[in-house]
Amino acid sequence: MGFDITVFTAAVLLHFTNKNISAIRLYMVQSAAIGLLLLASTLDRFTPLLLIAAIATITVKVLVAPYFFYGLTKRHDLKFSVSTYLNPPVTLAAIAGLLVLTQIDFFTPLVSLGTSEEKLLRLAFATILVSLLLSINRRGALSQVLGILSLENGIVSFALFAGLEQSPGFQLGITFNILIWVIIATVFASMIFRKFGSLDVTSMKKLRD
Amino acid sequence: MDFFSSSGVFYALIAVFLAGAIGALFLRRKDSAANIWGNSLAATGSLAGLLFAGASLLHGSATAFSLGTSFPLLTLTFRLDRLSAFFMLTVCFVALICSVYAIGYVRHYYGKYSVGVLGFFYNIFIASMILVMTVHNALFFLIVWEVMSLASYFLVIYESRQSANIRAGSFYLIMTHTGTAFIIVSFLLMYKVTGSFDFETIAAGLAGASALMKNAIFLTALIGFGVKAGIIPLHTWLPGAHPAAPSHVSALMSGVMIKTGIYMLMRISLDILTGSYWWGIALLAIGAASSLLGVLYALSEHDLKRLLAYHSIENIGIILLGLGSAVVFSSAGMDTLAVLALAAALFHTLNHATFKALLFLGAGSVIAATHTRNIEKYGGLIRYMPLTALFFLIGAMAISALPPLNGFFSEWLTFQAMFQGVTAFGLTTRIVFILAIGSLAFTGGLAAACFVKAFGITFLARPRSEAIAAAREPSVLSRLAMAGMSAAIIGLGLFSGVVMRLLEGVAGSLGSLRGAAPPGSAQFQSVSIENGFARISMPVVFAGIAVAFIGVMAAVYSFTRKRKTITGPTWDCGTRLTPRMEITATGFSRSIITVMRGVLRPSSETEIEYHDANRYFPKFGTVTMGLRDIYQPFIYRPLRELTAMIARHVRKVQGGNVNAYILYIFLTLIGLLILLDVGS
Amino acid sequence: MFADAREKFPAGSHPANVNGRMFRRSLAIRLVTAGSTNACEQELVALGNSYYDVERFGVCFVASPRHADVLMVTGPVTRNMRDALLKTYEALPTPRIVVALGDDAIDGGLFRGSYAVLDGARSVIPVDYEIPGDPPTPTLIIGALMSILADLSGMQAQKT
Repeated sequence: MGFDITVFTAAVLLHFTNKNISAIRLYMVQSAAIGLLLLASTLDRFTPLLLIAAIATITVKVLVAPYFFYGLTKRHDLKFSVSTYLNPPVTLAAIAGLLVLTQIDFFTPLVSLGTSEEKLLRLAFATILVSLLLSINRRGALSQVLGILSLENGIVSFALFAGLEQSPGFQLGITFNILIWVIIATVFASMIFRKFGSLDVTSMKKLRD
Repeated sequence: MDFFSSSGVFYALIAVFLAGAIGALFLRRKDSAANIWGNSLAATGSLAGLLFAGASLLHGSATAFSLGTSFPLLTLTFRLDRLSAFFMLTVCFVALICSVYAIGYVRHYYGKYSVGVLGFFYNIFIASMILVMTVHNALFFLIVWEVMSLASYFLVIYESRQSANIRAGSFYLIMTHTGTAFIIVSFLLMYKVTGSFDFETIAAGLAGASALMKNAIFLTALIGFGVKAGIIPLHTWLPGAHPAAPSHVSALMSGVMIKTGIYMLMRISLDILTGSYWWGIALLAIGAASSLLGVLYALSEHDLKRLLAYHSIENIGIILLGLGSAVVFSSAGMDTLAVLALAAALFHTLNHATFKALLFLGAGSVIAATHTRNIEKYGGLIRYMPLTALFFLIGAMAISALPPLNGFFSEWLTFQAMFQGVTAFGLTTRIVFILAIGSLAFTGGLAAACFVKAFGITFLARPRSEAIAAAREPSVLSRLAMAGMSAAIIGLGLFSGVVMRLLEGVAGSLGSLRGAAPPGSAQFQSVSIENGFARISMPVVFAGIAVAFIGVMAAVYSFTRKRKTITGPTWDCGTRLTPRMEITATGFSRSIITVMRGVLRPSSETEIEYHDANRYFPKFGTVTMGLRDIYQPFIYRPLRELTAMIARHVRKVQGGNVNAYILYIFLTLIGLLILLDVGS
Repeated sequence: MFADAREKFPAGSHPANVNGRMFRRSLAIRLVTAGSTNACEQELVALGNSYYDVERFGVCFVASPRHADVLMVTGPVTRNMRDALLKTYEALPTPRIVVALGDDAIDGGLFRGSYAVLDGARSVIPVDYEIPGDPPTPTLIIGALMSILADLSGMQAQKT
């Protein structure tokens, strides 16, 4: 319960941060919550694949990704824009609207997936929508990426509360997701290496040109 | 017999085509090997297909077999009822002849274009046509239909160094996909009613569908398959695309590919659905328009292959006249007459496949020998290519419906079916049938005129260009293939009574005509329709013509045998005769075009240059005659402009802003969820 | 009056390869003007008018040597017309009859000995009949043609 609220709150707060650093931290917190949720369900019923998924999530999403973003923004002076299309009150109104949309009995077929955790399911779905809204609203590239990543977290939590955590498809999905993460990061790194002849990020300053 | 109609043979022959395709691709470095491999496997596959289809046709009852796939709704179901078997027989026969021909013909591509690629697409093309005729699942059908369209597209643009071919190919691609879009709509409508993509289930499920739905299905199918069949005004791709392909492929495209459209129209209007009255009238009207306009355009054409392509439109029109009559009869409950009309349409389908393929093969030999498609540049080829000329003449006589060849018989049958329509119906329908008969009669006459032109200008008189003197007969295999086709044309004429009986069986096996009594008796000796309404005996016609021929020859001989024959130069009034004095194709067809200028809208330009200022002594004159394209400005350009206008408005949506794109996704998601909720 | 003309001008001799019934008392004539002064042509034109009307005797002038029985030559045969005359003669179907009309065509007439002419049709092609005169009058021409017809048909001149 608490974790899920954390996930949702992080998604909402992502809308109102003015700094890249705090956005990254919020994402870290959100990912940590997801990781812990996964770990908790491992305690519930142990499967090796789920454990791998949980550990991978924590490693990549909580540690590697934030470190990567952090490095990009902080140490190399790359400023990502955080400006938005909608001003904060309108954003808040939109979030509220989405929340209401998920809470009224509108998405019955969707919610009927997992009857036991209906409220959480609605919240998780609200997280998905709110994260999507973030991607739409933000002009900056990093914020958009964070919006998509947050959306991904929302999907994972939605799947968890829909009672899918024991299904191998779900576990495979998460692992696969992480794998894609790693591949993209590797490709990115190797592209940088080919371009600059070094992985030393100091030389990446040229990227700004 | 049972062995040949087993599913194993079918899979084997498809495998042969695939082996031919892939093998040709592997051998592409060596042109002759790729040629022999690709075409001989195509010939083998076609021969196997011929046996398979023939056995299935004689077998009578439908054979079905299927392969499952892991995709829902898609099972690889094949079903050979008699209609499929008949069409497959036609495809395989023409493909066999064309493949044998190709072994000799493709040689002139050596070193110019990749023969391996040609072999690849050629095999795929034949296999996909066979599959189109045999599959029994709408989704699977769409897949093989698309494969057929794409394979033929690549064959059209095979001679890719000529930009005109690329243009024709692109236009063909656009048109065929427009057609496919309509076909998809048609199938989806069927799915909506019946919840199945299996033709059998669809046929059963559509029986109770509303008239509106049936009309919608028929109309979309008519447009979709009409594009492929080349009915007017959807024909515009055909005269460009068919000539662009290598000639043996043109023969296949014109001879059998456009028949896939006819096949599906038959299947939908008489097997899956039960035809209603106005469909038949619509088909009759389209058939009359296509046949008449097709032959008129052919008459004004000077490109030998384009001329033949326009004749394909004409013959599709004739087939549709038969089919339309069948639908009208069927809707009125006169199943016997419907069987007669449909048998006429089927017979003409087979006949057109044979003689059009032969004509294209002959044209291919001529073009390969002279390197031009302009018939004004030909002349006197009969002296250099006597056998090709003979085969072309046989084809020309058959397509002009001259007895005793096969074209005559099927057009006669179509006439008889329509005469039955005149006697059987009330005033309005009677008028429709009378007009259709008139157009068919007119078409027949014009077709004969057109082939007098095509044969005369090509093979007779003196050469009009230097290249003619170097013309030689094609290789032995090519000549053999053309001889085989000529024999088939004569054989189909002679044995038309037997074929007719077989085709009555095919026509009577369709869903809405099942159990209909045969329309008279069809024997080898004679065919009689509707208790002696009309009667014909092809052996007697053959014998009569033979007796007349022998009699005339004997008479001429007996009168002239005492005379001495002296061969001397043609009297030239003291001038020197040059090929420029011969009648040209333009001159030949000019009077007919001038008479029909209300329909054809010819553009005629006369340019005369004079020696003197007073314009008394002309130096030389040029007359250019062409037809204005009436389809582009009145149908296609407005459509194109409409599309462009919509596209301009749609473009505003695509602003290049990532946020906007995500917003679209977001709104779609919300919208879908709401829709889902409302729906449940 | 024609009878007189016939007796006056027995035009020539019967060609060996012509049998009696071949022409059926009708002649189709192809005229070649081989450098004529046009005098003979004027008289020939007169043959077609309603006064003389040569067609009532079965004689007609045709447009192509292929249709002709008789090749009629006028003029002394100039050098330039030699080939044309030869070609026309060759184009005539056999049996062919050549008639030289007028003195020029018979032996060159006035122009005899000129460097430009070949002194009559006989120097180029075999001539079967000759109709003298410079030019012969239409009456004479018709009379001569009648006697030629009679000769060809193997009949006595007086009978027709």
